[in-house]
Amino acid sequence: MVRASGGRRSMISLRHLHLLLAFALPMLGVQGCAAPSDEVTLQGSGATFPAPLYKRWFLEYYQQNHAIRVNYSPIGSGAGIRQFTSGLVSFGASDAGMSEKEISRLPEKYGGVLLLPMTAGLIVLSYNVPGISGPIRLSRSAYLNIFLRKTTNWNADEIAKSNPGLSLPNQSITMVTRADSSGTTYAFTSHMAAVSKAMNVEWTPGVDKSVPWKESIAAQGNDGVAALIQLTPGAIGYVEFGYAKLAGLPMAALENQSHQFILPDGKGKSGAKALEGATVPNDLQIRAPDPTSAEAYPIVTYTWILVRKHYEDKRDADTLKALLLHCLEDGQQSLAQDLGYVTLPSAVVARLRAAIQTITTTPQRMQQP
Amino acid sequence: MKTPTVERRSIARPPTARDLAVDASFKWATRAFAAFSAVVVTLIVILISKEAMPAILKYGPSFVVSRHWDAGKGQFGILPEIFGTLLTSSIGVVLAAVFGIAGAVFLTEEFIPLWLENILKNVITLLAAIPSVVYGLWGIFVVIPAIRPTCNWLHAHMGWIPLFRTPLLSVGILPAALVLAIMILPTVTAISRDAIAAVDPLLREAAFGMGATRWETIWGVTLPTSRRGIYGSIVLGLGRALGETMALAMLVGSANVISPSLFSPADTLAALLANKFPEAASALDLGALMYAALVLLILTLLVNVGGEWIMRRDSTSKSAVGEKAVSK
Repeated sequence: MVRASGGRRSMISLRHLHLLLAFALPMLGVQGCAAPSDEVTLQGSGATFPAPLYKRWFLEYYQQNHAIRVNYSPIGSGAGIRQFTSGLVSFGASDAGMSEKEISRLPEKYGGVLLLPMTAGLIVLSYNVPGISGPIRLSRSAYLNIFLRKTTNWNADEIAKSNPGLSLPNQSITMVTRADSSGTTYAFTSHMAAVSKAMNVEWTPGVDKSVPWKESIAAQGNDGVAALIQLTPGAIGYVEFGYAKLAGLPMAALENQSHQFILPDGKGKSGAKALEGATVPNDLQIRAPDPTSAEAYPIVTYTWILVRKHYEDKRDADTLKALLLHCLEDGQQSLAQDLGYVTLPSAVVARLRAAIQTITTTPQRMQQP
Repeated sequence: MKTPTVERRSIARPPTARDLAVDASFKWATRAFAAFSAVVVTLIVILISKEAMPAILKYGPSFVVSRHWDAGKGQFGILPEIFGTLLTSSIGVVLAAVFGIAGAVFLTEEFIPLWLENILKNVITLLAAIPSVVYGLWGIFVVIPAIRPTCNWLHAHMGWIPLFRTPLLSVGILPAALVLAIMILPTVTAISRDAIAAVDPLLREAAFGMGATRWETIWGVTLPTSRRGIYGSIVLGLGRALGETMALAMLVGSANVISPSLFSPADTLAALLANKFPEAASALDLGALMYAALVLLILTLLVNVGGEWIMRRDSTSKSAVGEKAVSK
């Protein structure tokens, strides 16, 4: 009896073994074939904000050139900087750039860091207000007070004043923020701080990748915030344009410095206006916290790819340079626009090209241009 | 007549060198494995404490009673997270205990045919195999819309009760606790079921024989006799509830508030760690998170010790209870 059942068991496991082999052998074979010596794999990680665009860029590059595989993990700006610093990835990505303190932590052998503003995007205020038609218009003081929790109901005079055509419900406002620390929060809070300063109000949460919000509910990542807004009646939160569009969330028209109400548009026009005229510093950490142009959408941020100035592996460096230059080409930049990002101003593209050329592979270190 | 003698002799032979070697290596292997778990736990505690040291030295006990978490200003406090962790876990465990023990009784006391019992048993065990993130999504898309009307009605009509002080917007303590209850239900049910099934059938038959009803038998004999195992299941469930991360990070709202309202958003220690850990930059940030992890570990340890203590205290008086129950 025991022997019989033991025999049956071994028969079954033998059959499983066949199955296993049937699946495993071709896989091994494919893996064996797909690793020719000239293949290069680059690994990057960081901001979630530009992730849809980066992934698309890198995928298309791979389709054109099968020897080059680029993986990008959207794990947040802070984590991207940390992985870049500890040498786990070939390049990092951050919506907040890098602070001097963060740069000072980089290993000596990097020869410094190049911050490349590869694209820019809009941060929109999405909301969930049941039963209204058309987008809500928010004045500078209205959205400032909402995020300072001074305005807590959708039917407040301050909001109603700019929306004569809408019947705003008596619904309390719930603020949705980021639970993780993020470059989107950094860009949003720097804008809010600039607006507060212009209006002589104190911006209490401060400017950082993670700030102590007053009475908010929080979610992880741009997608998490978008989902939570969708779920919560009366919610308002800040998300990157593409994520709000993907979730089908309504976006508020915001009043800019010239008192025009501007809707975030998918063509990148109002965003491009915002980037116009921003001064380009030597380290390319271009900030436009409160754009002046009358047609500008007020909350726009660049997002940076972080690369070493010096790579020990020549092949890695050459591949990375070719990849980055490719992403700056017109076709790739218009792809950015299609995905709801902002096309880079040509002056910035020229500066980027020059900067990318300075990446070295020889032990000799280059000075910053 | 001859064959059995041979067999008996072969059974009674002295152990060979190989038998002794197998015995000894097995004994040492079990010792090594037992020691290994203890060493791993100790190493984890040491490592966490070491990483937490900068924060422990800087903040000391004020860390657990302060309410603010502001990494930018270097202020760290986890009182809201401790509160949220304990509240969600205790609601979750109470619900899971009620339903889990009732389910375990239902599955063992011959209310249903054996084949159905086996199906139900496996379905409940299957709940344990569902990934945490799926529970989170289920909570968001099913539980919250389902309970929201009732919760908001309670808030509108009985808002003066502190438990219903705020409306249920979306995420909050109650949805988190409900999902948590379902997540730990299989643990509670499976272990309680085994404990109840292990009760000597003679005891049960004796109770029936003395004229006890099924109800009296369950309450007077079966449950008191198996209570050690049932406590164990609840303690295990509570341990899992305290440490559950992903579903709670999605459902609790990550809000730094302490509110008695069941519908208010809150935060838990595990969710805090999951949210803040990837971006902790400085040694102090990391230290604060490790300190929070240490607090969570201590909370879990206290729960286990507490559970053990209740079990011990109970099992000393168990025979008396059993006698009383039987004499009834």
